[in-house]
Amino acid sequence: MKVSKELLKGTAATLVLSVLAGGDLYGYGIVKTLQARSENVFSMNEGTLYPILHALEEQGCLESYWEEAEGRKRKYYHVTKKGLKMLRENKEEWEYFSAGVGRVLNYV
Amino acid sequence: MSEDNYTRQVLEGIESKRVKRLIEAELENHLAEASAALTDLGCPPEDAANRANAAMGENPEAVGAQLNAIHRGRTALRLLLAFAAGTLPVLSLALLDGIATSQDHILFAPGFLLEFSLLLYVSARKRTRVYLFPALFPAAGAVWLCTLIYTEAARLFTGELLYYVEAAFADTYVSSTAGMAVCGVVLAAVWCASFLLITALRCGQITKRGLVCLRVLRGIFLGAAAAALCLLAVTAVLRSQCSFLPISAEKSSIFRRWYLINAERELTDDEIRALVDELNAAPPEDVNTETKLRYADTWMTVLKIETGAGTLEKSREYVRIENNGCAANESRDHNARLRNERGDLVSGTEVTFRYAALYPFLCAAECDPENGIAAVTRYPVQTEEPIRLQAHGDGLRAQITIRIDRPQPPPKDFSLY
Repeated sequence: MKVSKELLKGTAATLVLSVLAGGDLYGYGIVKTLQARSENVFSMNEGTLYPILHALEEQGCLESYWEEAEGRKRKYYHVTKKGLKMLRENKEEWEYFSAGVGRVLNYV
Repeated sequence: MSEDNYTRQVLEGIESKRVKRLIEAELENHLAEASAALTDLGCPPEDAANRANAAMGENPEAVGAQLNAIHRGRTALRLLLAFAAGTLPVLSLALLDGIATSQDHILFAPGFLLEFSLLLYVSARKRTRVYLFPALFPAAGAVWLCTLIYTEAARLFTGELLYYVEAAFADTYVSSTAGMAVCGVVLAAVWCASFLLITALRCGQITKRGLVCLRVLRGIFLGAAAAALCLLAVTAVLRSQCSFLPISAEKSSIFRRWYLINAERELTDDEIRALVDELNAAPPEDVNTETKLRYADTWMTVLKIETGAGTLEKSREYVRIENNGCAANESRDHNARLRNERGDLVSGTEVTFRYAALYPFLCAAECDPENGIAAVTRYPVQTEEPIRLQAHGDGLRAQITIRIDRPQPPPKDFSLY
């Protein structure tokens, strides 16, 4: 089943932060990790990842640096304290929201 | 759509050349990674490139527009507020009080430190059009700033405010020049390193190690800003508590080395003479020989005295040491708050008052270059003509200069004990 893009849009930043909370990653690595963790439920257009990353960096939630690995120069992203705080808040919000949605949908 | 095309279409929507370079490298790297992964899975190279492009999405223009919006220069309100926070108190002092603000380290050091630290912190965080200005400004002023910090700390702990501990720390002044220089060089280096790291960060060229360094530097400057605030607060409290005037017999001998100007009333000739005699008869005993040597030839210039609504005296003390043809000069500023109990100063009033003495004694040192001080000769302080001050507005304001020179030239041919 494919998930609607609209559903993904609101949570994309939180998902990216969540992936990066596990360790520093570069753009392509983030996309692949997202796909793997969601068991291919999320298949975002890879190009749309960059505005999310850059916006989070601008907000001070991420920091980036270049590092050479496997013969390639990659731009890695690192979550800041502010980013972790934002992730925690968004997660709580999401759990609260999804629980509410679940109660409504399962109401008999 | 080829790799090149996707990237080019994204870049077309971005205005800044710097951001273009940054994003171009990132996107090309992404596409190359994706292509390589597909090739590893057995996909032909051309097909892999096409599939990698397809995975990027079908709307590169929209991605370009979004990235452009994120990176567009904007007015840095926090930056402007940081400037205002550091500059306004100084400007208000200069404009309203007429204080020679460039001399007033006490007020300047913490304010400017706070300002520059905030600028650095904000400029590292935000992409703003005014980025370059605040980054260069602190770099240029770093050495100067650091000397102020050091001076402030030296003042605080050597006794101008806490004069009780002055004797214990008197010799700190000896090393103040070296201390200022070291402090200035170290912090200037830190500023320059920060600047380079921020520039690398902004150009997307920073490495992981650089990022860690930048975090440490940010911490240092934030800590320094916090320390400056504390220093400012402590200084303000102490200044409000301390009074250096007038001199009295109850004051300790340490205190006698400080200000003897009494602006509360005009002193008579007899009082001046009695005061000078008293001081000459009982010079401070607390100063050690090294201090005496530094005071071998001392004179003092009072730059400004204000009485009325608020009074401030600012003076500069000069010390000249001569030792068998070799001479050294030292000067330093003093700030003192004159107690204002004069309620009758109104516009047009002319007040004449005299200084009693600026220094309890003057002495000439006769030195043995190998064995240290051989003799110290004291000279009595000479008083000068009364100084006339003019009242302006609601207070008294005048620019006066008092100079006391040693009454006799120092002995050139000294004899050893």
